[in-house]
Amino acid sequence: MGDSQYSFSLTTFSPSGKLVQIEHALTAVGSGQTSLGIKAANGVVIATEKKLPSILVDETSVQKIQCLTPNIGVVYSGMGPDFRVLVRKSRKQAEQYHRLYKEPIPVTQLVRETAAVMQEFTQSGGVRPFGVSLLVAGYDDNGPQLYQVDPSGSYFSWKASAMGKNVSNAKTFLEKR
Amino acid sequence: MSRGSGGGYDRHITIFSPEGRLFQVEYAFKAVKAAGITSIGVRGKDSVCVVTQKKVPDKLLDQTSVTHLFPITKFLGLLATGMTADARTLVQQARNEAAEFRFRYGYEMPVDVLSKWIADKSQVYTQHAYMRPLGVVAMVLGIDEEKGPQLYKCDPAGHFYGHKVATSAGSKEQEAINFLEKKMKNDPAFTYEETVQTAISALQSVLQEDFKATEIEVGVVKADNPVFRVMSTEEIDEHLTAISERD
Repeated sequence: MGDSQYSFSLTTFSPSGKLVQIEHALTAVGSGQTSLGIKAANGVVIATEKKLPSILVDETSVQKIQCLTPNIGVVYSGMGPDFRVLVRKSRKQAEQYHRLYKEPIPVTQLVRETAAVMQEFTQSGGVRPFGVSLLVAGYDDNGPQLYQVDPSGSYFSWKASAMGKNVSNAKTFLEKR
Repeated sequence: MSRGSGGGYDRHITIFSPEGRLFQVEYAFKAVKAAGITSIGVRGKDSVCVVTQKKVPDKLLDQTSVTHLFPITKFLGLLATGMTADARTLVQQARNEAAEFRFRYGYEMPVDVLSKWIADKSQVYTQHAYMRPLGVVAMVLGIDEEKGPQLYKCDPAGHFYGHKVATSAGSKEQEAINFLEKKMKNDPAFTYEETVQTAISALQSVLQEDFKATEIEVGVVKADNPVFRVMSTEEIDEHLTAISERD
């Protein structure tokens, strides 16, 4: 990936054993617009703030929540352009799965593959991590599911989660409920 | 080779700074402003018009070769504000992509699809170290078969937005946007003449100077004849006269 001039990783360990680029990516996410998701008994809901840079912008041209398959959707906090790349890759992976197994991709599989892509960009040469965290909401044979995927490529299943600005307030609110 | 995160390198290539910012992308925006040109795009009911300053740095230059307005296909136009060399690269790639699209799918590339393609390419430059972001803000205009007149703006960060009535780019971008936001308060639906005149008079008022026809470039596309056209100096003159008479 990238030019041979950059065949070394840009994300390297600091003396204290941390991957600082990933932490900076998480900071970028934390300054993005808030989004959250809640898993219910019979479904999942995801929502996000849609603040546009100016009233001149056509709000129908911006879609922050995207469909990956007919039963899996995703929302992000962080950098919009990075999100578009991940949406495109995930959609392709879902289609490839379907072509091979002739059934819709389970949510866990799609999350795992998306997370693998995000991890790849933290280790490959000449690239930076994605500046987005994703909330993947889906419904398959295992019922409703909600996953959060971070720039590091780690993912967890949540009953409810929030990301972006004011995440601590949001999480306190969700925990109370 | 271990490259420290920060340690100054976050300014040289597009890796994250400790505050989660991409300095190279921010500097690309500064490069757009440093070009010293302001552009404005206005979308009307059945037409779209873009206007930009035409600064010819040397009298010996052939004025016709100094341009920021490029047809991508017969129906799509692109106004590139910022570094001219980066603009030409972008235009070349966009023309190739639009032609391939037409060949592959059998219909003309729509405005939003081209804008998304430009924005996705810009995103790649913000994530891969081997290419720097382009110092260009691109305004794409055209008539969409289903949605009518469309005006999109793509920036070096990989963002792209459709604009309902108007937008601006370049050194006086913010002043122009403030001016245009006031104009669109009542959601106007401009006719072709109003679209062109709003664009030109907005540029004049933001830059606080009256232009001669040779000092600006105007590109238009109309629904009844969806071909992208760069206006001739005579036509620009007519509009300028109409504006000054109106005032």
